[in-house]
Amino acid sequence: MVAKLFKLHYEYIKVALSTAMEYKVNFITQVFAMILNNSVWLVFWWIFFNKFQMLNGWTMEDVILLYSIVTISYGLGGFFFGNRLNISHLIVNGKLDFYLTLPKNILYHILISKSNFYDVGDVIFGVVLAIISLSLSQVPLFLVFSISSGIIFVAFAILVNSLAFYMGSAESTSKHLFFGTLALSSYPMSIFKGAAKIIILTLIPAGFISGIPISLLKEFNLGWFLVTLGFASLILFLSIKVFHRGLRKYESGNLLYVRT
Amino acid sequence: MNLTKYYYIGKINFVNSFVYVWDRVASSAFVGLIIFIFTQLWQIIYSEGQIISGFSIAMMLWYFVMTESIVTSLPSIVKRVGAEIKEGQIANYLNKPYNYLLYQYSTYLGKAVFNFFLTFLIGSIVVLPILGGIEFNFLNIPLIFLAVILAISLNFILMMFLGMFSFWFEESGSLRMIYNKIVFTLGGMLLPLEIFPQWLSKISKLLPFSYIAYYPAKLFVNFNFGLFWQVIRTQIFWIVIFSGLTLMMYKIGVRKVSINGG
Amino acid sequence: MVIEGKKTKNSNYIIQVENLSKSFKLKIKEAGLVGSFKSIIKPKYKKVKAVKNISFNVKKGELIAFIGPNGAGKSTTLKMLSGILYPDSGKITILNKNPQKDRKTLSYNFGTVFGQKPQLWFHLPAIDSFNLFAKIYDLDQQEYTKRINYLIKRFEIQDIVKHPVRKLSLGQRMRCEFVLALIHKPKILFLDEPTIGLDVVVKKTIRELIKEINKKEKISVILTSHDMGDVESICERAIIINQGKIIYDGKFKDIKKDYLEKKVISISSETPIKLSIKKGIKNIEKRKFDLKIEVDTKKIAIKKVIDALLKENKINDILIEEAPIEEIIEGIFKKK
Repeated sequence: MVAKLFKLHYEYIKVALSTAMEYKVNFITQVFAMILNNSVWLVFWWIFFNKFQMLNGWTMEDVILLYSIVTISYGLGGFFFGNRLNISHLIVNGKLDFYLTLPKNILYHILISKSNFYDVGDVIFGVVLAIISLSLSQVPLFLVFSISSGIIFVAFAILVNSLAFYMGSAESTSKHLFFGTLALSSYPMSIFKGAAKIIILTLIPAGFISGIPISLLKEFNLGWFLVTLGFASLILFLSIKVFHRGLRKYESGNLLYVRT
Repeated sequence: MNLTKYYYIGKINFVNSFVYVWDRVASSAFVGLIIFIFTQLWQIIYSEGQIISGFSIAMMLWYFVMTESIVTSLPSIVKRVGAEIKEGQIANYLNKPYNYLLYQYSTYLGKAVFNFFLTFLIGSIVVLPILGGIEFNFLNIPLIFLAVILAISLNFILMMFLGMFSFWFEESGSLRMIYNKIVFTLGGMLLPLEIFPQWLSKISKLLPFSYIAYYPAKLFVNFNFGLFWQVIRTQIFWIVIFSGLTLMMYKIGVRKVSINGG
Repeated sequence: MVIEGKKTKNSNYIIQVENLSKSFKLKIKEAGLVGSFKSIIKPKYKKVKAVKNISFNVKKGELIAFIGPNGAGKSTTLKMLSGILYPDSGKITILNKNPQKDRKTLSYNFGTVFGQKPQLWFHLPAIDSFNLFAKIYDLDQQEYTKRINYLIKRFEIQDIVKHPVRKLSLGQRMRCEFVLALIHKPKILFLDEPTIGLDVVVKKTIRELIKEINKKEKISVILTSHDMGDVESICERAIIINQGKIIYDGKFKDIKKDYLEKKVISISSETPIKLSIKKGIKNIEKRKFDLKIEVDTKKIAIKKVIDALLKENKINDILIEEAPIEEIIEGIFKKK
């Protein structure tokens, strides 16, 4: 049964590839935009570390590693579960009905039915950075974190998009929350103190996406490693629960807006 | 030429923005998040309360609030101009390029000014609790505001210039992206040019982009009349140059459209 | 009553609906800024009863039409049958299963065509959508190939399956939508306004295909449509729903016989309107150069009326319509 789900997923990815090839210009533009965006931040940090050398114990190499984790985990999420950011749009526009008439697990089907092929650009960018900054011994741990951070990104997207089951204008709210998390993940965790630090280790899980993994790659600590994996599992579990709760509300037809 | 109608267009767009204020608040809140992150960043660097390249931490943070407010206030017109060229609506303005440009400008300025104040307000809310206020000579405000308006206008004419490429190229979106990123970096939005290595700082000062973000913000945190005149002069210089280039490209592009029938 | 797994007297019913009801809570918001505030602090709800205690059964291979005005509860009923919406009370049994509890299992047996909600991927060629659906329904590759080739031939879409759907005309798209709905040999086909926007020729083709598939594969068809032509040509049985209640459940031709013998003619003329025929004619709107009349075709043949109109006037525009569904319903109520 699981094999069948993978087969379907593979089919959707094939479709995304052929669409990308069909709209080549669009595809290349998006990959280009991605690389440009990422490069700007690297230029920023290069200028910054050129002047200041260190930021609370963090160096340019650490920032490169951080970028690598963030781009890889974000890109993997976009490639494999490209619809994660559209869930609120589907809910608001009654497009969940399509999935409800089909014999597959709703959440999974929604997630895999779109694959952003250009997010491969992010993954490749991240891999190149990783090759530059990782030592061989760090690779296995790095792979583990790429997956756990990828899971946190997707689970968080599901959570905030599920707000659409409960409130109007959830589409823009969820986008801002998600990209806010992405932004916070892109900075060394050591700059955050006090309340901010607590928030990025709980509500806005930027700390578990990049901050903790990077410090564990520099200096391994079994306790925090287990906490990170535990957090990823927890947020995944929570997101699935919250989505299905909201789905029940959708199916009883009592959303705020009338579905056509 | 009846110019007062363009004033009214600008005013309507400014007032109209209040209707969509909640959308803008959300995006401005996002900018507020970035500003917050930078307060954390700079507090680490300035842990000993020192002055770096002439900037105290207060100056550095207010600098950033100012650059972010200017750069993020700018409505994107390259896409719209490109679309109007491609869909032929520009045909309506074939004989009246001044009208077309002025119309776009007044629409744009109305929105940009509103966005600027909103973002500046939110940025101030983030930064004030950390810093207290800033030593400020309030008499300089109108002068600084003039520099801000010119900065916004310079950005406008640069974007119009890029939009003209739609007469020849399908995909002008990438041009806009590159432009944005250059303003972020060489324009001094993220870091003041004093932080740059010498050679990069020199290049950036020669380019028009620094007059959109860096120079108005510098005036805001460290005003002096000498700098003020230099900035205003140079902003006007770049605006004139690119207005000329844009009009020229407009005329050539329009001729191409009339010959080829769009 | 159907007991799961056991064959009982009623097991030849593929769908059984008992005392089905559904209401919606709609938020009431007063106009203006104050209203908006109020609705956030103390929201007020209005309960709308969309479906009130309806019951009906469907046999295998039956073709049923749901007729009714907008908002009557047709789509709501259809959604509850297909498992998209949960009823408030009542029981639905489809193929001895409950659409709420066994959504996934049942969906292997459902095919849907919603005229206003296409299922084909817009940017892809139809064939790609077909292949995706084959995977979604876990179809065996060989069986699927046979099936899709048959359907493509039968629906005559050989020349268009490889083109992106966005480049197809509405008629071509609908044919592909039907193929999509039939790939997995569903036992029940739900059709919601399937011919909306289509021209006469395409409508005819689609109606014939539906009838043919129904005969060949014994697919039960549940159709909702405002097009009486659809209903008349496809379905034997019609269920009329009005304000959430079933007010008629029987043969369509009986409705026609009793209630549909009225036609509405609208004409405009260059000369002042005249009509010598009075029998069976009811004036709906009368002006100097325009006329709208209702003709009772039981009392007078429509041909006679049209001939008279054409002879006595210089017509520059004419429109002939069926009596609107609301009138039919009114008629049914009156007879009751």
